Amino acid sequence: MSEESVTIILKDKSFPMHAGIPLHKALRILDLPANAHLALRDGQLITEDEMLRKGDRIELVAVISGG
Amino acid sequence: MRCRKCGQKAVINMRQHRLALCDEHYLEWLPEQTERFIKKYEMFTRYERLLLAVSGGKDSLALWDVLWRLGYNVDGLYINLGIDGSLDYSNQSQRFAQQFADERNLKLINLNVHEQYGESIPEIAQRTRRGQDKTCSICGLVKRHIFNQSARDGNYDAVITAHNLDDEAAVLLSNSLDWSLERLGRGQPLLPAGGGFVRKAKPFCRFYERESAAYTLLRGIPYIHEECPYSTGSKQLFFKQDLNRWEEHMPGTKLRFYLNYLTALDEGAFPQRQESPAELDQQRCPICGQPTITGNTCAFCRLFEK
Ligand code: SF4
Ligand SMILES: [Zn+2]
Ligand SMILES: [Zn+2]
Repeated sequence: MSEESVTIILKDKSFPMHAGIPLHKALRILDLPANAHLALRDGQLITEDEMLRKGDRIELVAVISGG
Repeated sequence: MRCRKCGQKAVINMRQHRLALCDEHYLEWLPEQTERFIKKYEMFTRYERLLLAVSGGKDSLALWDVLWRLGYNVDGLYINLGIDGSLDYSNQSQRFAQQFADERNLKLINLNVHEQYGESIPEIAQRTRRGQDKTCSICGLVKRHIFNQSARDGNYDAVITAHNLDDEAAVLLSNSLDWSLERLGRGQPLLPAGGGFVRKAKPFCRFYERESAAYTLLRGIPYIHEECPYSTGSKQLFFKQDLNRWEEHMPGTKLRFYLNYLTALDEGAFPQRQESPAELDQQRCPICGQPTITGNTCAFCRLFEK
């Protein structure tokens, strides 16, 4: 049983996520392309292979602008 | 994942280059690469005066920071478009641009479309007839005009924009779908001066959008995160999203698409305009003096014809 103990934040939305999976997997679950986002944990940029840990708050920054 | 240079924890992984770097080495790598592109495409030198289009967003502030650190002589130009979208978008982004310039003691020229021409971009768009993406197409036209005019008035040697590879690839995709050979002939990272146009360079054209964003974040440069309200649903955004989905499954797709295009362009795959400078010189707008294809009133001045 995996607890949904990770919070992923994108702009004003937040998504609950399981701990124990790598970030790229979480992004796939949320259908967010990894190369359109950067991820910060405690203000530090992290790579997509980082494992999500219990209690993590991951802030996503959308990097694609249009116009 | 570990930094390829020092083995410390990596902060970014660039799958298309099979390269992961820590923050320190990333902040070194990006300016080094920028310098390499400036040289490779013979864009400009440290002896020239450059004018950079600054929007207050991540790309233009990252590029300004990089060029400044590399010792180039760059002033910024901010064009206030008068876009509000209930978030005071234009004024907000102007504040980010000004703060950046003030902190580094750099010169930022501020121009305000409403003050100068009596109407904001959304007001001009309201009044005129243009097809899809109307506001953006008018906005692009106005920005190009003001940018070129300011560069000529200020005697700058070259104008610089912070277009990244995602921007270029999206335009390329759009022009390819349209088989617009004429536009496809004009996608070089460096467009030489000619016929009243100032030289134009895009030193960030080989970086993914994610990479300039990472640079801005790692340097701690405050920038406007909000999007221009008119970008929602824009064609460009649509193409970028699709390209990113392909990239997800086939890393390097965007890079190959763009670089192979540049090779094709170099090999003469697309027609180039053949007018001599003298011919182009006669094709000036009688109102503003900027070059036009027809030799009649230019598209910009036509916006304000009564
Ligand atoms: S999204 Fe459109 S209207 Fe907004 S700044 Fe870009 S080109 Fe102009
Ligand atoms: Zn390192
Ligand atoms: Zn004109």
